Amino acid sequence: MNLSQIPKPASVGGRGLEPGENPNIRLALLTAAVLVGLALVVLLGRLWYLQLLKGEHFRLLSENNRIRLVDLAPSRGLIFDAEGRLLADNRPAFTLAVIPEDVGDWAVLTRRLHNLVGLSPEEIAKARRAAQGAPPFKPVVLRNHLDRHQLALLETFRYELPGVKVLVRYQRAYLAPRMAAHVIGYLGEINKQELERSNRAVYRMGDWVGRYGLEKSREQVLHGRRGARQVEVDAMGREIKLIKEVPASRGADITLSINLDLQKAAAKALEGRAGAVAALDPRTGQVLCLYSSPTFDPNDFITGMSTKQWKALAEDPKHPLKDRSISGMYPPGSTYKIITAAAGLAEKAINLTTRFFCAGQMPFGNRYYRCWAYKKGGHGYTDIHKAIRESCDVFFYKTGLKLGVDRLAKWARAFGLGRPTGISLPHESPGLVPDSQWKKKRFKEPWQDGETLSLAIGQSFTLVTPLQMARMTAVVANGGMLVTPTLVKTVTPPGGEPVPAPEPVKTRVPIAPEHLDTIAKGLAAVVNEPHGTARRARLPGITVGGKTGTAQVVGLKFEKSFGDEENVPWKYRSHALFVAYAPVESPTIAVGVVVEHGGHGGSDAAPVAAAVMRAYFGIPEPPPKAEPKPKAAPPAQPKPKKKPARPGAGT
Amino acid sequence: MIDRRLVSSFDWLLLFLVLALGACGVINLYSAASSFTGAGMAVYVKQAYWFGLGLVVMLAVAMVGPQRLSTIAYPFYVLVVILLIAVLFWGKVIGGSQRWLALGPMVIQPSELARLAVVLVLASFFQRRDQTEPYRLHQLLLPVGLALVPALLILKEPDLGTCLLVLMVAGSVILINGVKLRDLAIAGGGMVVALPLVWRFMKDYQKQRIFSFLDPESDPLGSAYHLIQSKIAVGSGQFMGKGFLAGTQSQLHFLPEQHTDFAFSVLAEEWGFIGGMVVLLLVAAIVYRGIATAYRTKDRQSLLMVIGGTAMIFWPAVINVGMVLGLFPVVGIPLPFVSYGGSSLITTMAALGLIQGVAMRRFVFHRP
Repeated sequence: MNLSQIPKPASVGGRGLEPGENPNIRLALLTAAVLVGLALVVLLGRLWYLQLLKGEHFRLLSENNRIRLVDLAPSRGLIFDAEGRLLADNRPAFTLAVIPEDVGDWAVLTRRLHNLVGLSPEEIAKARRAAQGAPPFKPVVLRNHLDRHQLALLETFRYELPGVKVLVRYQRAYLAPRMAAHVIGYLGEINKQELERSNRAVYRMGDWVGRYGLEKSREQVLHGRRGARQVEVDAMGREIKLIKEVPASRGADITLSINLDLQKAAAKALEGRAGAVAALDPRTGQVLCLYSSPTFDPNDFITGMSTKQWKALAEDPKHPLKDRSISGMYPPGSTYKIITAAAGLAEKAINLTTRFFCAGQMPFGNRYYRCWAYKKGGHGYTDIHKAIRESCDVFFYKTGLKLGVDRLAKWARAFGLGRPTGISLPHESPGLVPDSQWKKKRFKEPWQDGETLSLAIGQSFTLVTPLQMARMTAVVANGGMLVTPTLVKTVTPPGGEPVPAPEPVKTRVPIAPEHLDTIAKGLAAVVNEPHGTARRARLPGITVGGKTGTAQVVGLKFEKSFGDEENVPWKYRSHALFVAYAPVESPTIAVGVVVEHGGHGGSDAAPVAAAVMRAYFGIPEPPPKAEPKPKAAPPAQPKPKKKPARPGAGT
Repeated sequence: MIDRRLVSSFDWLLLFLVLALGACGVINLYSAASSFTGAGMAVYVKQAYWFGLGLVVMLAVAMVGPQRLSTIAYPFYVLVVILLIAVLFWGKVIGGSQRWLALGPMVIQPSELARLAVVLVLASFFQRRDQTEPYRLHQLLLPVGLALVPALLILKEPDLGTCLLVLMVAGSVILINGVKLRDLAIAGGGMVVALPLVWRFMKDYQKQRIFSFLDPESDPLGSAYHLIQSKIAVGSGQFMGKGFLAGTQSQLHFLPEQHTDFAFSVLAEEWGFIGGMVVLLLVAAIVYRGIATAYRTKDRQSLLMVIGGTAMIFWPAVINVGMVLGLFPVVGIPLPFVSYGGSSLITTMAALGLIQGVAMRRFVFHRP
């Protein structure tokens, strides 16, 4: 089997030598032996040189080894809003530390520190115990966040405090803390696992790293490169000579496409409620506003929180830490009718002249599926324009039925639903686009046609995020392009010019321009024509297009069991949704709004979108008196009590 | 079953040299890691266990012998390449590079196996070709490729030190096997010409890595500082050393990685020139036993396996000691037998097994 085990005839090919007797190999081996000997001589020679010729010198150096390596931490890149307003800054913070090897008399030092800054002997003993086993000459932190008074005292008496050091550390400070907490995120001290996984040249124990939001996703850009200096120190541990220094280079600054004015408008409009706003420029995908309510103060993560504070934050039933704008998943309600309309037109299930008769309900299987206008007797003959404007459920039931679940799913995906938008933030949710295969896998049951009816009006299993809603609306606004939302406008390296972020990816949605145009006209009618469902979103001088949605959280019967709407517990109330874009002639902003358990899209979510768009177009807020009271609903607003739509039709 | 000649031809001197060097390593680790506090077994005890396990591996490889090893050379090589690819996807990341692969309860470092695989596959390759004349360049494309595949995969982890070792071991085997002098000169010249070209195609961060490799002073992390401290440690040892457990540089943690890459500094500080010399002479003696065994070997495949095994001990030793003494830039390569590290020790012992396996069979080559 193994040829090499069979001796080869010596004479084949005139080669008479066994390999081992090959003079070439023998010569090579002898050369190798000589080279090994040479290497040995070089290494022994070097050893001799270091230990015998230079031995005294090095012995002296080792006895007075006072060369220390001091770490220079880089300062983190700054974050600005679209108008150049500073959102995240670094501010100095002072820490009291001690180098144990340089102290000498601990009793004296403990007494002095007690007198100067009020450190108790127990605190000092505790810090010393904690630092046992640490590398020598490493500063042990005694107290963080020194105030100016303490700082002055320590500086005055520094010659009587051998080994004591005041460390200056730059600490992150968020300047608009409750306006963009989720987008910007916060930092945390690096932990052991992160340290092990990271590059040792970049991170050290005690470093701060991004934990949430852009601080996390852009950590590499913001962090900067650390430096170091070799210094000689005296017997007191003070630096007396700089031997060599490699300065730290600071992280790059980031300018966001987010505008603080819009964030403030969103924060005000959502105050006291849970919900989210996402707004983007439909032409580029640049995110103009991304706000989630309730929010939190990221500075608490920097200065440290008490256990109680942390528990209150983490266990708040309204989950202030969750970024609802990208990870909150909601049934789209009637905003989904944009998808159904697009799919119906593109797949030729309906055309521009198709008219369905709405009698307020539609029999299917063994029951009636109601339109929200059931009590009014239905919408009568309805074409696509009227169906969008008045959110006619029956029209979309029929369209959905002709399409079937899988074609609806295909178009929902084409509009960017069911997968993350690709925005560079952690924790983005994909949402959910159900189809027949999904149902089989998830419930081991085939898809029912009745479910298609609910699906067509956005009440089935479909789940979307506010950012996905804004992006879906942008497709209508920009003439059929699915954009990738981006947050960063420019990155400015230290000492360099701003570098524009790479052009985000756009994909064309395969839908005819006249079909998109029809949908766009319908959306404009929703806001501007009589009988439209979102007349509250109108702005002076700017034409807005939009679509309302109301997504039920629980079955209608259950909701009804509480009687009057005011009696329904908060968590069982419907979500209010609204998508919009403006100006309809050449749109520059597309918005998605969700108000959790807010009631109705037209009355509760549309004003939030209007507020954000006002800020965007620089339209002053209307005087408070002109603001309609929630009770006094405009005529187009259906009375919620009169809304008996079977699977929970929204407006 | 076991031929008595196998036992009588066993290289007992080589075994003795290895035991002596291993003992030096364990004793030195007792001191180098004595100030480490922490749960678990002491480092020197663990090293002793690894050493014991290594002896078993050495005997096993020696008993299997070169002929049977060559039959598994290619499958083993393919397996190692697969593991190297797997480590890039599923490897554990420690210290910024991805080198370890968890297989059930075991954590292995496939790059350590790569050297062994390359030696076996090259020996097997040259045996099949069995060509007496020195090789021409075009004939070397395949063997060089066989070495480059694992080397580049290791470079990607990134582990520059181990990548270089694989290339050096492979280079040793190829050169000993014979390359036409003229072609060797062409290849050398070609590399010099190609360097600027390669440089142009490299990404900025790759260039940065090369810079900090060539010039540790540019590294803000302070490998220059580490080098100074290592030189102070070695130099202050002087002729007789500061005495066991009395090295100030090591006991006060001035040395980085003092139980692994810089273990030799600790030894030279505490045992002086005498200690350093003894260790260097022991390593050299082991290497010479390898070359001598190769010299007596008549079968090409066995000869190349011996050379490969010897190179696997020689190169890391020269590079590590050269680095510790400030002759080479800092690169993380452990000193065989002296530095702490299980997988490195096992690989080194397997290399010795290659040498012993051939030495044992000096008189029993061409069995009828």
